[in-house]
Amino acid sequence: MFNLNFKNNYRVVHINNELGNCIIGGAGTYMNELYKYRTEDTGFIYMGLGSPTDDYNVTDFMEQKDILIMNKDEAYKLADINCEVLVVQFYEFASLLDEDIIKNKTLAYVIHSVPTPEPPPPWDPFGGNHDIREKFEKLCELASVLVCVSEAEKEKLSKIYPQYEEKIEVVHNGITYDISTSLNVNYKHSRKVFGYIGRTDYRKGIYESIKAFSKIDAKYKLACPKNDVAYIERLFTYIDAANMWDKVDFCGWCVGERKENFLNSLDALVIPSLYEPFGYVALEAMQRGLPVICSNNGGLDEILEGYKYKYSPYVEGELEKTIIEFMEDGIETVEKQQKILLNNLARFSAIQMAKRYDEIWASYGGVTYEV
Amino acid sequence: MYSISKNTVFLIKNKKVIALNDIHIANDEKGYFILNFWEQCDYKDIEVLPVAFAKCETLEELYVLKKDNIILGSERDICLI
Repeated sequence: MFNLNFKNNYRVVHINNELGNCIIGGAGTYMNELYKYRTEDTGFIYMGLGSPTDDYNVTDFMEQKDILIMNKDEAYKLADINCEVLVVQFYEFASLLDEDIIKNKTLAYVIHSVPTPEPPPPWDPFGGNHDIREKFEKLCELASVLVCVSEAEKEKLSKIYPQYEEKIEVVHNGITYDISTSLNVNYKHSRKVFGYIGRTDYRKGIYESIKAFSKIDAKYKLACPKNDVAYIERLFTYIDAANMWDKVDFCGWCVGERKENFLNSLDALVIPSLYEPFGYVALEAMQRGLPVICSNNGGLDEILEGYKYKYSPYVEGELEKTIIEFMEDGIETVEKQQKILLNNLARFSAIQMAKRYDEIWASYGGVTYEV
Repeated sequence: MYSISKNTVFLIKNKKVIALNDIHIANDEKGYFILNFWEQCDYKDIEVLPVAFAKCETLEELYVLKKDNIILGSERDICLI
């Protein structure tokens, strides 16, 4: 464990396995935004869930302030954390939280994703993953407040656990954006370069999106890590069989300036998720005015309210149709859609998000969990 | 020992790649090694493929991944499979 000016007398302490440069996906972006707009009453614990021998660089943790870094084997030390509200961000922490840790604290659980397969089987939404179900249920049960990152996620959770409806709050994620950032207007000259950025996961619908491009005369660039080898094998098998290596490029897992340049090189970003609890990637495209071709299942539909290039990921041929529509539309039409993206973005600022969380934590002043 | 330093941009089959880590080729007689470009990379030019060295201990089929953006080769005679 090491302490980056963590004072241990905060009112609110967040625990997550994503922070600073040690991030995997949207939950990491969320943590970094929350950190950026934190009050002096807020501390952060980064808990590594990998090997106890993993090394961490201090420079990976932003201002190196108000942060405690530990690995999961040191979780017992959480009993010494002095705070009123303990905010857990991931169901994997359920097994680490014993009574000594949570006593005399209000426990909050921010549900970045109800961990089900997609689509969730109606007879067992967790698809037989009993271990995940147990951890998830334990946290939901212990928490005084459950925060969902979209109305869609609230609906999904309430459908499985109607008993929790009363304690669910919805706070949309937010992003820091710079309105002076130059807009991507590639679409005025070209509609031939599309891209995907994100994890390699069947729920992201990458396979379906590659299939759609087999019939479209365009380039498809993918920026993803190799976190699911079997899925990547499946993608390659399809690309082989469809003889698509001339139109599909893998660019690796892009971060920092490379990510900026990846997004700038595109005429449109494809977000083909079968379901997305929120969809931070849409905000990243929106702040650049980069058109998106986007699934409408989950939080994305809320972010892209009133936007044209959305499709249902479970309807065969819809993605292909939407891409072609984007390619063939007049410049004015795309321009209008770009304006919708920019207008919608205003509803998802990180400052607003942080403020909303502060309001929620403020309403949990007293101790609600006592052993 | 033959080595390629971290952040070196070099050519493999006329494709520019950048070494994400120091690449040490332990056995330059056999000289087989694998370069894997799936690691996190912030190198700005997206036309340059990021690669990270993974030491190849064996020539077994297991290590010879196909169509996988994995580069296998021997010192100068490097090929993209």
